[in-house]
Amino acid sequence: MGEPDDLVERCRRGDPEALEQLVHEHGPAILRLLARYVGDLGRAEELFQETWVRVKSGLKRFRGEAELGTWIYRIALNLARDDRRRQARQLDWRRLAAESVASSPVDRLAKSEELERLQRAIDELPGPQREALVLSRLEGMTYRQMAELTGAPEGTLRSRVHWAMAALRRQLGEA
Amino acid sequence: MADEREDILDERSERLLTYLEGGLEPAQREALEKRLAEQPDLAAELEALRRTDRLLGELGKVDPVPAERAERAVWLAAARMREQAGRAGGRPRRLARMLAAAAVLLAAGAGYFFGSLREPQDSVKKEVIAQGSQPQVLEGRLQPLEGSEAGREASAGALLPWGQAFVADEPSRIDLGDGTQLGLEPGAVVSILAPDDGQLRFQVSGGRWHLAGRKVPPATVVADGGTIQTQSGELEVVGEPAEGFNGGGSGPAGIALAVFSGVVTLSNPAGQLTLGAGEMATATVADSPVKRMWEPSVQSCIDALSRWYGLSVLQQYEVGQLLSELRREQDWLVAPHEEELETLRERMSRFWLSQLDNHGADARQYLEDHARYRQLLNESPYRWESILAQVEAILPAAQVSRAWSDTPERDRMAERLGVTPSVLRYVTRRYELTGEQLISLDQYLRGDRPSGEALATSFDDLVAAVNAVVPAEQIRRADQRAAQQFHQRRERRDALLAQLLPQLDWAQPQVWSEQVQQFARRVRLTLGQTDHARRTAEEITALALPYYQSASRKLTALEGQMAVATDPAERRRIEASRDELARPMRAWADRLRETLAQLPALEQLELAYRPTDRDEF
Repeated sequence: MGEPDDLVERCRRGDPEALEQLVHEHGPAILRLLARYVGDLGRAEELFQETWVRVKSGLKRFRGEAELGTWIYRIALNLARDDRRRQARQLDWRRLAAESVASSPVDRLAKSEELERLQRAIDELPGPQREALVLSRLEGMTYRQMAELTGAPEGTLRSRVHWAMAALRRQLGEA
Repeated sequence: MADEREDILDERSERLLTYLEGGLEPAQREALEKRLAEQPDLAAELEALRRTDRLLGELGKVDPVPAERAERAVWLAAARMREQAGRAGGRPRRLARMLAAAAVLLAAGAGYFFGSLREPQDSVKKEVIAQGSQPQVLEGRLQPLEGSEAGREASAGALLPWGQAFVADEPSRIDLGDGTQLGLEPGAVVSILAPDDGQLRFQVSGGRWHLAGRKVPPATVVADGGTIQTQSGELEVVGEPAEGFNGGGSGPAGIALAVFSGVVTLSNPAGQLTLGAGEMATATVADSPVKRMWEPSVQSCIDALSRWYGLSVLQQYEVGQLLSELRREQDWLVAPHEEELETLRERMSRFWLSQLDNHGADARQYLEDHARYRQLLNESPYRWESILAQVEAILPAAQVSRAWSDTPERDRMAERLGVTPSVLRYVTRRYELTGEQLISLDQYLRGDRPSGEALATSFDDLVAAVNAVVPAEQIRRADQRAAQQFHQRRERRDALLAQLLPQLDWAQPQVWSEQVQQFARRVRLTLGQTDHARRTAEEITALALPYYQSASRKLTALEGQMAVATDPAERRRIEASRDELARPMRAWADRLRETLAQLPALEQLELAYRPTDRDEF
């Protein structure tokens, strides 16, 4: 997630090209994270735009304690958490899956059903566990990256992932 | 006791997860593996964990955001960032700094004053002569303001330098020196583009705006009937398209309007639409809404082309220039919507052709001189496929393939194969593929992958697959046809060039430029092509004319000698001398002809050679 210092500085100064570069570099991953987190693509897109509004307005306050990329992720994640609390509704993983693999073939049906069950199980996890699981297993982050992003200790995050996995296994009838 | 046992189980389970993640120390790993070998239930637990992990991995591969939506969202965010950054630069505090800096320019006599009144736009009392919400380039003369607060500000050195922007964050009005008032709604951005002899070009974008009271030359429009509101008043156009322009009919059933310059309001009972230069619209006299005929332009097509192929187009209107000035870049965002472009082109062509049939000589000349008209004409060389073919000819295959591996969503089969619809159409047409063969193609490319999974097929792969699934005879026929077409086109082009290229007399270099101009008009060279021809003619004439003038005395003397010479040997000597003197002139004339021969596309030559009414101009 590291950024060259000059890019950070240019972003702070409000250089339009640097800001655009920032969006292009981090945008796709952040949108994906938001979509996974909130479970509604349209809502994720709104949060995505909001993320960049906050990034733009907060850049002057960015002191460089974390990587710029991590800082942006954190903004997105906070927005997603707030949104989820506010919306207080269930993730619709099925809809996400339906949108992204709209042409799921018949021979993948069984696999899709299995994934759908998994998605539902993830959806029912408690918030911190689900967050840790999404970041770790779906977004492929290391525990260190997750710790930087969420502010939680690595050990705690590891435990959350463990609990989440155990819960999933129970849900899927494997435990 | 039960809690303690649960804790132990949890610890065991967590250790298994760490093992799975590769996070155990070597010694710990070794110990665990030993236990796994000894305890089947532990091994089973690990296997279950592994299965869940694998399943999660598969879920992780499902991208929850379709590519085009991700592209759109990122693009939008980037555009907003840019806009916000731009606006930040235009806010009053910044504006004040800019204005102060501009005072220097003012003192130097630049003479452009700019004043801004923070008051609601409904205080604009003058007649609104233009309005809109689309970005629009306007022109005006800016002069000092007197009296108002804005005037005082102006006299203190208020000037908006070109290249800078002013952002209205509340309803605002800008008074221009000639009495024009520009009303801005919040969010509207005014950017000064360039000053030119006291005229100032500025762009309004980002929000609604109203322009009132400006005195500008009447708009140049072409219409086939109806009532048009221009800056100078209402213009009644009598006649129906079928009866000809101004043909005195009983009244138009509708109106089609093209605006070449200025701003025009087209209205009917159902509403109105303000059009700027280069825009067209249609309206009926009844109550159906006034309809903008097209939003995009040829430039949009070219832009789409540039995005598709990852190119940056420096010269956007002239394909001749386009091809020579393309440079590669990695910023392609979206695939072109080829069908839309085709529809657009057809609609524009129909409109222009109908206009052409209905206008007098002046309008025709205007249209003829208008670059965009030529581009949009039905027989124009700017055919999409022709452009594609030319662009592809000069690009590395990998880049073409990458462009072709894009996946617009309209054509189901193209999507399944992972190629664009236009590519699939091209391949289908070229090889005369049947429906069954298309399915075979899909099966061949897919292999054992699931039937619903989208592929990403390069052009090379697609052609290879065609060669694999289509009978050799069919391929051979297709190749023969293509080769035949290529040769036919080349022969036809050579034949037409022989008819149309000017015979440049080496002894008359003073008329070469005129001959080149005639050729450019006759063949309807594009602006870029014409410019190239003109420049080459100027360069060559600049060399040839002085030479010819210095050599003409000798040539005249040789002509005189030739007239009286009777000895064959003497005549040969004179001829050789004359040829030697003429040699550079002939070479220059040949070079100019070669240059001209390279410029037009076959379609341009065909168009020039075809004896139609339109050929007159």
